[in-house]
Amino acid sequence: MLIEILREKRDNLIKGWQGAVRETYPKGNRIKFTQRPQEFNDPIGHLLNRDLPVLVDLLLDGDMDKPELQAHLEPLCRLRSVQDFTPAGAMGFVYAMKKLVRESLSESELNEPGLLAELLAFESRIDRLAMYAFDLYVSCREELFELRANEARRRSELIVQHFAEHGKEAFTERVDPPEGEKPAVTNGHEGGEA
Amino acid sequence: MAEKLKPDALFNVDYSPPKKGWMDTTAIDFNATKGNWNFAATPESMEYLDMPNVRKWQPYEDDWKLPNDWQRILFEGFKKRLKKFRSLKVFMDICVRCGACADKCHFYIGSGDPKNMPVLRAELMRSIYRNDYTLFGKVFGKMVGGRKMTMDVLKEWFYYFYQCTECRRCSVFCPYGIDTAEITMIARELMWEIGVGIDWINTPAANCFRTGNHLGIQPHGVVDSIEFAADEVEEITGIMPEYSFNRKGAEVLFIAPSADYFASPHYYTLLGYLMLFHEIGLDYTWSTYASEGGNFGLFHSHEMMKRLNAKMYMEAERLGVKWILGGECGHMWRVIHQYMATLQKPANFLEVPKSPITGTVFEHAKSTKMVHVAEFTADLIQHNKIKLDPARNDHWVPTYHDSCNPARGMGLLEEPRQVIHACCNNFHEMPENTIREQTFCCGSGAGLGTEENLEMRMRGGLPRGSAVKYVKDKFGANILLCMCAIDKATLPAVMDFWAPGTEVGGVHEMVGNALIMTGEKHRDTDLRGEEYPIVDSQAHLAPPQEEEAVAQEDQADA
Repeated sequence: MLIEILREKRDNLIKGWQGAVRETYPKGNRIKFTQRPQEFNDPIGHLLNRDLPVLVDLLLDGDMDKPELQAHLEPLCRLRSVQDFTPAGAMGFVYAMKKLVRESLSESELNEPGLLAELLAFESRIDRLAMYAFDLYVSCREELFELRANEARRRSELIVQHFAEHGKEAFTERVDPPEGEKPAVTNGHEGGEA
Repeated sequence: MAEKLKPDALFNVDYSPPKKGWMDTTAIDFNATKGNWNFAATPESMEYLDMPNVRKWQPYEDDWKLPNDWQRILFEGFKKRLKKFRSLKVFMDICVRCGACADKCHFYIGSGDPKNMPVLRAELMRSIYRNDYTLFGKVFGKMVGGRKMTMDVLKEWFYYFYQCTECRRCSVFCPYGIDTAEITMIARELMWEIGVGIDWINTPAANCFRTGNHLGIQPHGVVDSIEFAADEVEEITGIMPEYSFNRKGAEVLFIAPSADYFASPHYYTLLGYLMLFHEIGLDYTWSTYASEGGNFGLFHSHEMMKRLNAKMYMEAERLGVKWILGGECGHMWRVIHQYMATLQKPANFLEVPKSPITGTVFEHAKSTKMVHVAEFTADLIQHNKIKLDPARNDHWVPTYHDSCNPARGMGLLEEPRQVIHACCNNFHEMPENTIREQTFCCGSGAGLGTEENLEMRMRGGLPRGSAVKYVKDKFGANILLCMCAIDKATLPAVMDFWAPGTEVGGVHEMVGNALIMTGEKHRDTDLRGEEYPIVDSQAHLAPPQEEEAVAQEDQADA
């Protein structure tokens, strides 16, 4: 019964959820977000329009193991993993759905027999979604740390390779070529510490 | 159930952010925002460049150890610059806050932080300008958008003016032509006056001042790496390219960004240069002193920009070359193209660049005497002076990232595309509003490409990343070509995060791959050591040894 009620209110749920995510960004942003979102000029708006409706449908269908679910949850988690949020702030948007669902039920609906049980079951789906989101968030954060390490490696990759192939002397001890063939390093900058 | 349930009682949490205007700023918490800012300049590098207020400090410390009269120093410095740069005064007065720039900044797009809107970032400075230098501001203060320079405001300056890569995408859309990047430049310059700035700008600038390049590579290191690269070219093509260092009387001085000597994937572009110049028989020399094209002075201050730019011309004069050819570098071209004419005198001791191969005179470089290697190569291709086989790049599906400074700073839009088209069969453009003069920055330029700033860089790199992902999904693009050393250093991380599976490379790497060199051997691999596609242009050459061995074995069996 709950699902039927929510299906009727699907559009409001989506709208409300999008609004709740937007609310997590600082004031002053609303102008941009109300415009038609474009993929490259407003990625946040674009993701909200593209992914949240699918997630709402999946929640209503109750199939929480579908691969689509991760595919549509991931971009938002990835984006929020680098934005100015604490982990809770970044992932809290999933729980906003609970509030929306509760608010969308009228008092009489809420006190129908059996509905509370259904509500609890539905909220478990939201919890499940939150756990997925947290996994994705953490894996994105881990990726960031890997990127840090990779970048340092890239910067010196060829020097390390050079050392491995030619030995340390290649850089530290220069053997002067015979007189006459000496390279014309004449600017007096040979010395000094790197 | 004792009580009837009410929806609100179940879940009553307020999600809305604090309702406060942007001017009532609270101090940036540098501890809570790690990943979004860069470490402070070290005392050693500051001392080396004769900077004021040398001390050890970090932004997350409570005490920034500023001079007692830091507000007065900033006030005087601002006043001096308002007088010196008419553009600054115009930019301070003229903005009508129409918001055309607002959603054009990659940092704003990726972060959603309103203070990353170029208009509001500039407003951080304008509010001080109004308060201190305009009559209305002096009288009415906050009512007319003025505010006092306080420690909190200074922290905000440090935070947000180092969240601008000076890419100038916003300026393209400004109906008044305000160059927001120049506002950032002045803000940074002012902060340096009280010793507030970041290390990833100051140390490279100090290195460049000492050894001639940002990485601090000493002359023998430069020689070593070019020799190493030449050996590698010989290994791949069977031809030892000709090169020389500090050779007086050479026709051309070639200056590349120093990352090309060592870093990956820059290095493959270096191989491309060596092969190309050898093939056309260019009379050129490298310099171990002017061993850097980039100019971190641009991100530092006018004075520093001038100091670092001068070195290239001093070396050109000392060697007696006719003109300078510059490598695949970004901001060097902004300095040369936009600031050199007023910053320094025109390089009249050099000749107007003329390609010795095609005879083309590069009239546009009449004042600076410096030509971009993409222009030079495009001219060679235009005149059919080099043999290229684009099929040799068939294993790559490239797309092209217009690096901000060559694109917006000097209008180099067609030449690199002409080169890529001649060298690659599978080239695909990214969507229209993300390329050419509307190109999105890599998010790490202007000295922000550090590891400690990674989260901010990923936000800034999002628009570029999504555009690449678009062509990757649609056309299977697997390499992002670009023409700037900072791009090559920082885009790999952006790609790994937003468009995994896309490599980053240089335009001249593609030239190197496609170039048919006179007398070359059968090439088994491209410049990265990846297996070459089988192509007709190699048909006349000896087959690879494995096949020979197999053929011999077959004969023996027979």
